[in-house]
Parts: sequence; C-alpha cells; structure tokens
Amino acid sequence: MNISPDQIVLFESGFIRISATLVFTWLLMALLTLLARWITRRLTQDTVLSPWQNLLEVLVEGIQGQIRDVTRQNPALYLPFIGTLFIFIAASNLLSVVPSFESPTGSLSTTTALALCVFIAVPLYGVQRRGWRAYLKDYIEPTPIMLPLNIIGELSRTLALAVRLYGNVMSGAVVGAILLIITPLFFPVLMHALELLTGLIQAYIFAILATVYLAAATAAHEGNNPTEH
Amino acid sequence: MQLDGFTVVAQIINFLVLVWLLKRFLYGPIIEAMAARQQKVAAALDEARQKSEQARAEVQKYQDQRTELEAQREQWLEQARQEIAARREKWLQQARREIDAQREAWLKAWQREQTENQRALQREATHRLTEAVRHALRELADADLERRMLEPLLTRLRALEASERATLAQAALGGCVISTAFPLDISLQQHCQAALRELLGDGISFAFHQDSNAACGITLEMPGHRLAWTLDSYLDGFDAALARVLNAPAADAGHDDPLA
Repeated sequence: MNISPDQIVLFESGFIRISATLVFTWLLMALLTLLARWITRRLTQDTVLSPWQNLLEVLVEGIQGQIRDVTRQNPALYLPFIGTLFIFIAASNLLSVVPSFESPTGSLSTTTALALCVFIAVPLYGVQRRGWRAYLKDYIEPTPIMLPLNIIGELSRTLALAVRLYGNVMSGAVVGAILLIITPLFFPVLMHALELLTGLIQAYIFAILATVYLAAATAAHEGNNPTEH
Repeated sequence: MQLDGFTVVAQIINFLVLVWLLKRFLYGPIIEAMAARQQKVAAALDEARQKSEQARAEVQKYQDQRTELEAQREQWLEQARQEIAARREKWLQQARREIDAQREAWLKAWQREQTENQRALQREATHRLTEAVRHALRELADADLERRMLEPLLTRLRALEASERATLAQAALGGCVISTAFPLDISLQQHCQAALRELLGDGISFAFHQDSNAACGITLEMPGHRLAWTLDSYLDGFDAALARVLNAPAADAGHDDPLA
C-alpha cells in the first residue's frame, strides 16, 4: 500500500522523476482548465444563467466574499491566488473518492509546494502593497528581540500548512484503505462521504489561512496578528 | 512521508501555471460577465429610477395641470355666474322698463279712452239736458215771454260803454233787423223801436222778422253786428258750464292709477 502518490514513479531520468503526483496534478489541471473553458465559452450577461455558469459565479463570488471579509480589501488582487488554492485543493480532495485517482494533496511534496507558494506570496504581496521598509518592520515589532521568533513563526506556519493538509488527506486515504480491508461493505462508503466533507473543510482552512497571512502582511500594522487554526 | 525536491519544484510551477490558466479561463471571464451584468442591472435600475422620476414628474405635472384646470374652471364658473347675474339684472331692468312703458302706454290709452268716454257721455248728457230744457222752454214760450225778454236786451244795451254804443248806433244806421221766435204785436214793436231810438239815436230803420225755428228771445242784427238775448244763449252757456262741471271730476279722476 502506497501512503503517498510520490511513491508511484512512472518515469525517471536523472533528477527528473515523474511520479503519480505530477501526472494526476496535470490531469486535474487539464480537467479544471477544460471545464472552466467549456463553461466560460457560453457565458451570458443576461439575468437568466445556465446552471454551470451559476455554479461558477456562486463559487467565485463566495471566494471573493471570503477574501473581502478577511482582508477588508478589494479581493480582485488576491482572487487568482487564493481561489486557485481553494479550487485545486478542493477538487483534488473531492476526486479522491474516484477509484484509482491518487489525490495530489495526499503528497507531502504537493502540500509543501503549496505552502511554499503561500510562504513566498505573503512577502511579495506585503512588499508590493506596503513597501520593503514597512513590511520588514513587522519582524522587529514590538521589539527587535522578536525577530528570531517572527522568522520561526513564518517558517513554522508554512510547515504547519503543508503538514496539516498532507496529514488530513493522507490519513483519510490510509484510514479508508484500512477500513476497506477490515469492513469492506458499508463502512468505507461512509468514510468516503466523510472524506468529501473533510476535503472541502481542509481546502477552506488552507485557503482561509493563506488569506489571513496575506491580510496580515498587507494590512497596515494595527498590532493584530493572525491566529492559526 | 518523504519529500521529493523535483516534485516540489514541479508542483510550484504547476500551481503557478494553474493560477494563470484559471485566471485566463475562469476568473477573468466570470468576473467580466458578473461586472457586465451588474452594470446592466445597475443601468436597468438607473433607467427604472429615471423612468420612475419621470413618471413622478409627469404625475406632478398632470396634478398641477389638473389643479390649474380646476382653478380655471372655478374662475370660468365664477365669471359665468357673474355674467348670468349681470344679464339677468339687465334683462330684468329691460323687462321692467318695457313693462313700465307698456303700462304707461296702456294707462294713457285707458285715460284717453276714459276721457273720450266721459266727454262723449258729457256731450250726450249735456245735449239731452239742453234739448229737454230747450223743448220745455219752447213749449212754455209765448209773445208775453218775448216782451219780457226785451227788457234784458235793452238793459244790456244800456250797460254797454259809450264807445261801443256809438259803434252800434253807427252800424244801426244801415238798418236793424229784429228777429223773434214769435210775432211781436204792434205795441211791443213800437215800444221796442222807441227804446232802441232812445239808446242808439234816431234815423234807424227797423225791420221785424219772425223765425219759428229760433229759440225764444230777441236778436238785433245790424250790418257787422249782432246783439241778442235768447234762451238759446243761456242754454249754450248752461251747456258750457255743465260741461266744465262734468269735466272737472273726470280730470281729477285721471290722476288716479286704475292699475294700482
């Protein structure tokens, strides 16, 4: 039994190592892109919408609303990043119920990559919005003694993001596999249904935490630090 | 739990590519469509608001016009009422004037008719009374009465002014005709001639004439002059006096309004 799709190597040449994680990621990317393209090709500006367009508009409007609520800023700047995080993680987790589909978020490499993206995006957005000096000043607030702790905090929360998502998805897959061995009839079905909920919640948590970090980095310093879940 | 560096880097690149793809094919079109719809709805709402404002303005305009029309109607009604009252008053005055004129004309006609009737009645009454008296006197008259009538005639002659009497004397020289209704006897003729010569002078030629149709009395006729004392003259005087007496009440009664 493979705990991570990284262990399924389909092609390897030198340092290039094409694992199932990458392949399913590409599949997922292709699926999401084609689906988006297919739906947005027939967009209408009328008040009568197709169900698919309605679904996408609800999704995008919901993400925008969450970003607006957390950041108190215009969500247009953060929507592609935060929205893609949520959609990718949610789609990946939801598709885990499909037989033979290995969820990319079950790979620590994927969750680490996503956490690194957040780790890099936070200072980029912060510097872009507030400037180098104002952003870096947050690291020596309230006293310069806090600088090492703030840096450790940045690294630890990135690590926490990666491990939390990986752990939840991996544990769901492992528990499902184990239950399939023990009670192969009904219980795994319930566990898979629970996994759908858990996957959505994890996607929401990852996206909302990333939004909180971005908000903390881009908002004017008011002495409030985002709290982790 | 293992971490593959190549996979991490590849997933970062994959994620960034996915960000670009979804931005290109999902967020962009969806937000654009939502913004366009929002703009469209806002435009529709704005248009509806404008139409509502326009409708409100139209309603206000029509209400103002209605109020103005009602005020104008009231003004016209008031003018019509005043005009009707003025015309009514004018027509009433005109009718009163016409009625007064007709009444006046009728009153005058009535008075004229009444006067005519009274006069006719008076004439008839006077005529009948005179005729009756005249008839009675004619039946009572005789030569003796004529003789008595000579005295008043002579008395009248004596009462004349000297100049008048001289004029008569001058005229009598041309002849004097004495007319009576009854024949005078010789003595009375002589007495008459003597009295007249005494008054008018000598040289007068007398002629006696009897006119049975004449009234009782004596008439002296000289060229250009006539002097008489007859009952007819009295009756004529009586007739005139009676007419005056009868006319007086009629004239007084003419001031009364028979319509009053």
